[in-house]
Amino acid sequence: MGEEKFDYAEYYKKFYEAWEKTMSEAIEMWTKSPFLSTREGGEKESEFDPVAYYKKFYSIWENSMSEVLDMWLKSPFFGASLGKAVEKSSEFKKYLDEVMERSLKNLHLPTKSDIDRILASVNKIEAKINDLWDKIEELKTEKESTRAE
Amino acid sequence: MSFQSSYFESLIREAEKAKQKFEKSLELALLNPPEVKVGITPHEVVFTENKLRLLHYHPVVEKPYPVPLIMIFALINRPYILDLRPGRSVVEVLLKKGIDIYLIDWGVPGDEDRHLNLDYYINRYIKKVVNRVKKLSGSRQVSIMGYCMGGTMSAMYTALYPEDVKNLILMTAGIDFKVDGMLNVWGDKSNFDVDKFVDAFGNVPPEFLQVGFLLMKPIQNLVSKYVSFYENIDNEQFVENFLAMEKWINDNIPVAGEVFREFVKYCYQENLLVENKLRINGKLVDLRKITCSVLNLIAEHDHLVPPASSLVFTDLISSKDKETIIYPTGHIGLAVSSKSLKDLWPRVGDWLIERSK
Repeated sequence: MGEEKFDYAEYYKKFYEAWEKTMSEAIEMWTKSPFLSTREGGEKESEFDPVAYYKKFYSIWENSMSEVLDMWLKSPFFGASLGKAVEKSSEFKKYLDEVMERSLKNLHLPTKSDIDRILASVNKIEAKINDLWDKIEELKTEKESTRAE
Repeated sequence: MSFQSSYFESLIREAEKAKQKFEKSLELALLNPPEVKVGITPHEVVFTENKLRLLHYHPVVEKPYPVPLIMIFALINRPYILDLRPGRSVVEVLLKKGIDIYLIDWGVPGDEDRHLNLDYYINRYIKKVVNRVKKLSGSRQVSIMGYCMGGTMSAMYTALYPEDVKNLILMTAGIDFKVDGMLNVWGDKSNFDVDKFVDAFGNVPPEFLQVGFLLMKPIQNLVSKYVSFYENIDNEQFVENFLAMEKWINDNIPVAGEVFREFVKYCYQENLLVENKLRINGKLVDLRKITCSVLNLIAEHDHLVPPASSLVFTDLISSKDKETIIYPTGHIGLAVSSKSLKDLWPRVGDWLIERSK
């Protein structure tokens, strides 16, 4: 996933092509539209559907932009920037949690990790009870099959 | 009247219609969305431990096939995507075929569950569920169907306990993580320090995952989806399905920190599973130990788990009876698209029936 694998020149070329394609379509749509025509009435008028034209334009924009963004989001530059943002927010979160824990401890109040520890212990007890139930069931079945024999 | 003025008139008419549609869309999607009922196929909870619930769906045939099926969903998002709503439910299709279905609902991990790791999920939870289902159904073996990360975990379980599994169905399961995919780039060791992240956050916040998934297809997720909703606002069926899907997409849950750390590290960063080097609690997860019947379902347009990531699975196992279906849909479409529910899932049901007698 190294930097050298991503061809930035190719990316900018694709970006330009997508922009060019979308713009040419928009211009073509506009120049061909009967709106520019000075003719009154006629066949062309009834054929013209502005909504269909806009949909076509939107579809071209959607496809070309998706392609370009997909390439950009897969680039190592984006991956590295995203990683950095996550790393810094992790550091900040850790710092905030430490401050909060220290403050609560100083006030002699139970902290979040204290509560989490208690809940984790309750979960362990529940798991042990489930195991014991299973064991009882097993013993019952064994006993019944011995009786039947 | 000149063409220009009639053109403007038609534009004004369209704008008026558009305004009404927009107001209706806004009302339904954001301001006052109607309540959408999901996951309503009749079932009962037959086992619970911590947040996990094991659901057993009420059979709809008199005598279901004897080998039960356990559905294992990913730890991300909710499992009701497999039973979204009547007519959009994999569970419904398979129940009608006579399959006896159980589904693991992992629940919502609390901060106290941050230490639950792959070992706990596989050797404790899945093992416990399999034993319980065997006991309840009276069958010596079960069929397992795992979706996405649940599929990867199902493959791990089957490799560790091959004697338990008669049939294995994988749905878009990542196996080889060194393929060309966005998550593979973002999760790469050089970009993502998973230790630092989990040490700071504990469980993975649902918002983190949701933003990540939205970013993978920003135009489709943030623009096109709503354009399509707007265009189909008068189609009741479309609106109902859209709202059910929106509910599911926004119903994100946190992922237990430790299992996330291990999954990212062992799978995305070190790719140990495909190399048969992954150890869970010291025990090697050797895919070659899988000998049961295997059906590998792959979504051709999957952007989350690229097809190449799943495709390799059948080459790594020892099963003689194995089949791969590459279906022309996306990651979620595999479970909810009307096409796959009409065409693919009845086929999957038949495949399972043949091997569940």
